[in-house]
Amino acid sequence: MTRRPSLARGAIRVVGGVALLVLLPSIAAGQTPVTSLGLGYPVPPLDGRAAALGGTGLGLLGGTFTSRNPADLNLFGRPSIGATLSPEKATVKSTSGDQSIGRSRLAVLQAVIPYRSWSVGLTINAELDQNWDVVLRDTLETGFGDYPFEESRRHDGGVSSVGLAVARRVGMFSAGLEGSVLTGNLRQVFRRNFDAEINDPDNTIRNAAGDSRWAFNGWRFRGGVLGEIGGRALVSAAVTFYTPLEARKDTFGIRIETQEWDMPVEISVGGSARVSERLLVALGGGWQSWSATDFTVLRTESSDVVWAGVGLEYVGASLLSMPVPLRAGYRYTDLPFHEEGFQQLSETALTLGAGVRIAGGRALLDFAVEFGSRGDLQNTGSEESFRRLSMSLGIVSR
Amino acid sequence: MSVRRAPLVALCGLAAVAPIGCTEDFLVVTDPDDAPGASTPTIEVLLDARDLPSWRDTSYTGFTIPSGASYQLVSERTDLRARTLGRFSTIPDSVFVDTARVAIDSFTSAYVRFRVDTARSVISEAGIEVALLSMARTFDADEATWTRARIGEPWTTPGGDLGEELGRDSLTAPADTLAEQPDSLVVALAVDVDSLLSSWRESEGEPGFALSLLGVDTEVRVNSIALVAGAVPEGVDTVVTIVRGADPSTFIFDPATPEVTTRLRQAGLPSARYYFDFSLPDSIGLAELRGAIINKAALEFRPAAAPDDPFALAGELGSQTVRLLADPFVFGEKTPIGGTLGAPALLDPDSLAAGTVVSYDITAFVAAWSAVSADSVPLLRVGIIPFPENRAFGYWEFYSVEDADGLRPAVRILFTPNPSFLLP
Repeated sequence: MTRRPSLARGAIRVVGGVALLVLLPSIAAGQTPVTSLGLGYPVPPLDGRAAALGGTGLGLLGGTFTSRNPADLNLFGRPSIGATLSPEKATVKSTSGDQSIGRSRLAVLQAVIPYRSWSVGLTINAELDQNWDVVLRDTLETGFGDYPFEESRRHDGGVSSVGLAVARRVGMFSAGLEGSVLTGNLRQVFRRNFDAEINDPDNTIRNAAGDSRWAFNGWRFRGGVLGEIGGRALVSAAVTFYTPLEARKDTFGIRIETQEWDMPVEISVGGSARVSERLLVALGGGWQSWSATDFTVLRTESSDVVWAGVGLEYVGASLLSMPVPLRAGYRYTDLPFHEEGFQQLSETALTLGAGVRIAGGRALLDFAVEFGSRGDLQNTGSEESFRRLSMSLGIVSR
Repeated sequence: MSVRRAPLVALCGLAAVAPIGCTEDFLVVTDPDDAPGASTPTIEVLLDARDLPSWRDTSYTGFTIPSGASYQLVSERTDLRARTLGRFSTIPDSVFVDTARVAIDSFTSAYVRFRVDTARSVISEAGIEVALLSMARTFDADEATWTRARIGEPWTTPGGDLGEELGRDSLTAPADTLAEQPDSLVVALAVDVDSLLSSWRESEGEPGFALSLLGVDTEVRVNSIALVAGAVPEGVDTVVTIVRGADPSTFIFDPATPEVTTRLRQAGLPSARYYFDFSLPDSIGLAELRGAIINKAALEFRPAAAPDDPFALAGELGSQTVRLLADPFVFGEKTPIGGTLGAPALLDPDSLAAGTVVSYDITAFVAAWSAVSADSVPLLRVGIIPFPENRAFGYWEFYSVEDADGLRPAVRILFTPNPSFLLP
């Protein structure tokens, strides 16, 4: 009898009395959620208001719980805290049909304490979403019998940031600095659960399973300025640097491994202007140097990211005597990671939203709904349409 | 819609779409090549014994001898002659009468009852006739064969030195009847019972008896032998029935069971087991076997041709893998055995004759091997024993590592190497 040590891909082979079923890790077009690409999906650090205004979030008059620029902390005149939850329903397109999946994130949590011309802020952001879960069903044909199985591959986790920021107002200008630690972990799970043999319920084989856990660590430093123009407009700009992002495999019983990736330089510019008594316009954009990170792992590459957004806010509506700002916008952003041999993915979304100011503006509720899409199957290898809801609750001290 | 109502409509709209993102569904993929994430192949390999790092196998016999079998054989076939030998060594000198033990004055009658396994006996339509004979020479039940009474002491006549005839009986198997078939031979002792039984009592049954078939092409398998005698206690006007089994009992047969060869033998008399040890490779090509998840593992043996009559296994027999606790090539037949390794296999003569591979599940055994450190190189020591071991007269042989390609034992393993989790 011959022993065949060779491995084949994606098929069952019976050669010389040796049957091989081989399922190798791979990434290919068709059934790839964007959270599985590269280091994951970059989560924009937006609250409900900024998300509804085209994902701008820079120099927004009235303030925003968005952490794009630490200098914007000076837009809060009182101690405030806000949190934003961003569930998302995505439809992943593939050649074999469309499937819906769900994601949910705590996008940003920000607390601000102003003191005279200073403001101090604490921010917690979701940075890279790496959650996904795929299931494969097939039958393993062996010399022992034929066993249907269900294979599950799952990633739970991602990268978050916890940052401390300080800003100071000097006349018409503010400047801010932020230092954040990038942290988080990722659990990778593989399961292959076999049913009993098709024709013999007593003929069973053992399941296969494995998992690993990675812990992320890195630093981010961000500086920004904010300028006020005639009391009706704001201009905001920020630049961001990172230390390399380190991932350390710390699974018990598995050889310790460490991987490192360079992270990009980011430049963000934006602002807002009150063009009439009841109408505000917001603009924002930026660039991230992902191509310089030389990120090429497992047939995944990275490219520079350009993003831009525009939004309008109408503040003339009210509900039960409470002012209810109405917002709309549009945004465009590239995604940094894509599969080798495919074009870079970009994401566009139409954004809508509203807010409620309760108790004289001391409690803030902001909602945004985004209808958008990412990539196209033919050119980028992955395609998703999505609806994202951003819900923010803010509390402002007396 | 007025501008003042717009916020309410907007809020209701937001409330309606709020739950959309709260589900956490998985993505069903149809092609593993299209799925992201770490996976690992499930690989099936069939490892020929000679391709393994090491494999040694051998057969040992003598675990059950005729005196320990669960049956006795009496046969007058052209290919097999057999006689049952025995002694009634426990005939009492007293019996209980009411509550008192009273010495036996005399024996008034006696017969020997043989319980027949009619399913495994060959009884012609004409029936069978048996003769119970006294032995003319004592024998050692563990050592007696067709040609010798004990080691170093051959019979004067092969088949046992027989003395006077003690009695006869016959058994018929009526055809075309629903009546219960007789299952006992009852041989009334047609001699001076009191003299014979008193002699056996004094000599602990020596020199013994023999049961022989008088016809041809017949065979009887006896499951039990009992002496039933009527004893008269001293001073008491009654007859007490006593029943005693034959102890010891055995049977001798001709021709003798062939000696074992390099083939791996299972069952027979003396019964045979086969023992072997082997080691597995740490890796199969690029795939790590040591440390992998063992989904299933089995030993496979290919049956050789059926042994010549009368030694081919006649009925179904269980066969069980056991763990050997010491080196079988050092300790031989006395190698201590540990627990069973999996469910027993069933040896079916028809299936074996057709060449069907016999497979033994050793998944847990190989999984335990896979879990230990690669620094150790443990040999896997396995014995395969018939189950039950004292029931079969015939045997079957399997090809060993010394046989040709395609015939040798093999280890079939289905395993899944640990996935290599990379980032991203």
